[in-house]
Amino acid sequence: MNPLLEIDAVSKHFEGLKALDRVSFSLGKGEILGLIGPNGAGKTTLFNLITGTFPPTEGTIRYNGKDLTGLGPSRIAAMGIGRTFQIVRPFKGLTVLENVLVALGASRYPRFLAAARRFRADDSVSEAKALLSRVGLLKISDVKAENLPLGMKKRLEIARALALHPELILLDEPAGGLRAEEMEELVSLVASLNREGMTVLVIEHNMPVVMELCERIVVLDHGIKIAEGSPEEIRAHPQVIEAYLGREEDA
Amino acid sequence: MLGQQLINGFTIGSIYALIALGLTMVYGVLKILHIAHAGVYAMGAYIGLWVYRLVPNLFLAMLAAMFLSGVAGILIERFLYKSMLDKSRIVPLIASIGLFIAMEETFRIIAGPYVKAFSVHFRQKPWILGSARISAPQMLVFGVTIVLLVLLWWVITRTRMGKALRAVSMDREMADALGVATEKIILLSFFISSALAGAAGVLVGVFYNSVYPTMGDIPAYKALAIIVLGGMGSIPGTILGAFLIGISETFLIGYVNVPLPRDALAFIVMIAVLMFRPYGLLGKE
Amino acid sequence: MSAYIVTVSITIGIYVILAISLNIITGYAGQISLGHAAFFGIGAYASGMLATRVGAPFFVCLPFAVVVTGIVGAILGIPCLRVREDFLAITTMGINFVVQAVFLYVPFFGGALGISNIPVPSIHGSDMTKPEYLIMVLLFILLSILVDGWLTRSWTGLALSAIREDETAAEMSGVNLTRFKVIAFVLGSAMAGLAGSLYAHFMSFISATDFGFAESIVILSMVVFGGIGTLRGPIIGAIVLGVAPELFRPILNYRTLLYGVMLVVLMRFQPQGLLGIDSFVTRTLKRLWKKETRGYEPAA
Repeated sequence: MNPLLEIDAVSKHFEGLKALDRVSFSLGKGEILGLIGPNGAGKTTLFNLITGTFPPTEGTIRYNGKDLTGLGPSRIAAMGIGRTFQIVRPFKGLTVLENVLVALGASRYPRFLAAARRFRADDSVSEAKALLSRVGLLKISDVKAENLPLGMKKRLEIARALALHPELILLDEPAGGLRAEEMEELVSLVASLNREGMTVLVIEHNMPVVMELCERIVVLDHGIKIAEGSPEEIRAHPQVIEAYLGREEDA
Repeated sequence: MLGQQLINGFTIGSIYALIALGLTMVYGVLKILHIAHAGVYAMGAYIGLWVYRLVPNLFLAMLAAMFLSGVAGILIERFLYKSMLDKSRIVPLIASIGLFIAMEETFRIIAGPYVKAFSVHFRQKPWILGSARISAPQMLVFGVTIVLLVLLWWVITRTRMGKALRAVSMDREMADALGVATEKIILLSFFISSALAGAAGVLVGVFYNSVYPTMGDIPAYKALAIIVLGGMGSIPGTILGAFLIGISETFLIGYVNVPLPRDALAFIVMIAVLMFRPYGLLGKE
Repeated sequence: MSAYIVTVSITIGIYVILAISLNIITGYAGQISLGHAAFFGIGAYASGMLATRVGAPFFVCLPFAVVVTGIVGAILGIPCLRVREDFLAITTMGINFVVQAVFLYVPFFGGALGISNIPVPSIHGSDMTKPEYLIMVLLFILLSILVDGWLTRSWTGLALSAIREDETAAEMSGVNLTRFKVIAFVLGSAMAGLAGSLYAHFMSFISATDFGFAESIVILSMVVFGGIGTLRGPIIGAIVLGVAPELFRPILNYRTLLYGVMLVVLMRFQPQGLLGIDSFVTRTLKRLWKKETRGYEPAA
């Protein structure tokens, strides 16, 4: 089976600092892969490279066999890569429904005249509402996003990512900052998305969550991939243990 | 000729630096475009003139202007900006513009719309430096600027207060979390920056022998161009930008007969630089 | 109606169009512009020069001004794409100074003398009267309102609000920043060009000093004063701040001071503007009418 996403010897340097150094791994269709590592390991940098925030210094990233280098974030998003953010960034002043509609527009924007049409047309609204009911936010679709509690904001971000009709979603610490029950809801949401065929790449600090969700885990430390394997393998990996235990206090 | 142009350019540049430094410090801690800063500058000139007419001692006039301008800065922060920090960027901007208009009008109503002379008796003979001449007022501008810049540099790099100030302008929330008395530091930076503006007002008043209500108009926007050029919030960048603009303006007038007013030049330079460095000369993303 | 009232109404009407146009750029797309008067001026010069140098009739000059200003808006919008937030604000301000300097110092644009003897538009072979001109301005206001209403209901309008709220998240949601920012700049500038044309043919004499930074601030103040990001806000803001100087005429000496104080006080106590979303007046009116307006508001 061809991989959906291939990270091929990717490096990213910031003013001489190696945020990522020749990292390679790939992600098969329908897989759910965990990306872990101590703070500053380069996980979010990798997300930013995949989504086109900035280009890699070296190496290539391929999605469905297509090189993503040089494509802007909006193009990459429209190609079907959705993402959420470590620190949530919903469109605060827009309603929950409008948040989802923005991303739903990605399939409408490319055609110039279509972008001039009414966005509250029935088909769009019903599709957005279906997505909201998928993440359990349908009842509050007219509430402004800034008024939601964190857990709901995170689910809203997932709905917004899903509105891109993605094949792959990147989740940046989905469980971070959540209360136990919120976390459980979120984990089961991600697991069910994956069961339905969605490919997921997830950064997560909460080890039980990673171990529960992921079939495979990649570990980064100081920009270098130090391990890759099943949760059991990772748990027993000496370098991983050292990376975490060595710096436990600042993780 | 070249030396003379440089000296004139440095004179203008040091005045720009004094005004723009305050603006950049305020931007550093609050991320606000403090247009009314130019109002404080004009206020400094008026206070200086008023004191000088009571007691003809320039040093005293300067001190009074700096102190009262500093107090005005604190009041502006306290009663205006403080409540606007969580609002859209445009709110403090418009408030600042409104305040600037109100200040200029107040000066006009109180002191009259006319140019007031700020005549100080200097020695007439200029100092000779190679082929260039430095007049006494120029010497004053240089002297005061250098003293103030050194003092500012010392405060920022050598004192605990300065360290805290840098921490606050780097990341206010982080500084807050680390137990820096953010509130105090913000007031302090408003005091220092407004005092610098007040000093600049007195210097300009004396240098051009004129004080008038709208004297802040041109500094209001030129200082903005300078701090953007330097990279908003960067103190060395601002000083660099100020001298760059001061010198290029003098050379433009001295040598090239470009049919553009000197006041647009600052912006042309700024826009050109921003195209290559969107965060200014020494700015960081 | 007295001639005085008609004249003031026409001027305010032109400001209404300017405020609506700036609100597209700054209110909907969130791109702070401190240089809107530049586009107002470009429209006025384009229209005035075509009329006086080529002798084209008003109804050719006006669309010409709109198109020229829209194109220049796109070109000047490009440097604005490189910079964000406060850098953008100062860049637009710089553009204003540069455009004004070009009008003032390039002989082609009439230099300090500006453009004079711009003809009054004629209908049925005779010059338009002032009341007729006012009616025309009102029709163009109506047109601007229609354009605004269409924009806020379209996908483009939604994309602009997404950009205003969070550029990074908008990009990651498939919104092409360059494209939509340019659309906002072009629309806003073109509409300002329309206002410029109306201004030129009404005043019959224009010069660079009419389109300075101070004018940009007047327009921006109107938008913010009334309530940025809504349609009603800029309209009311332009009317209130347009009428205020006339009302303050008896206290001529203090009117600019009052203007400044008004801005400060409003921003201090009602930063969303007089009729902005959730402002005191809006909430009171809603309560009085007990009618929740369910129509879409872009910034709501």
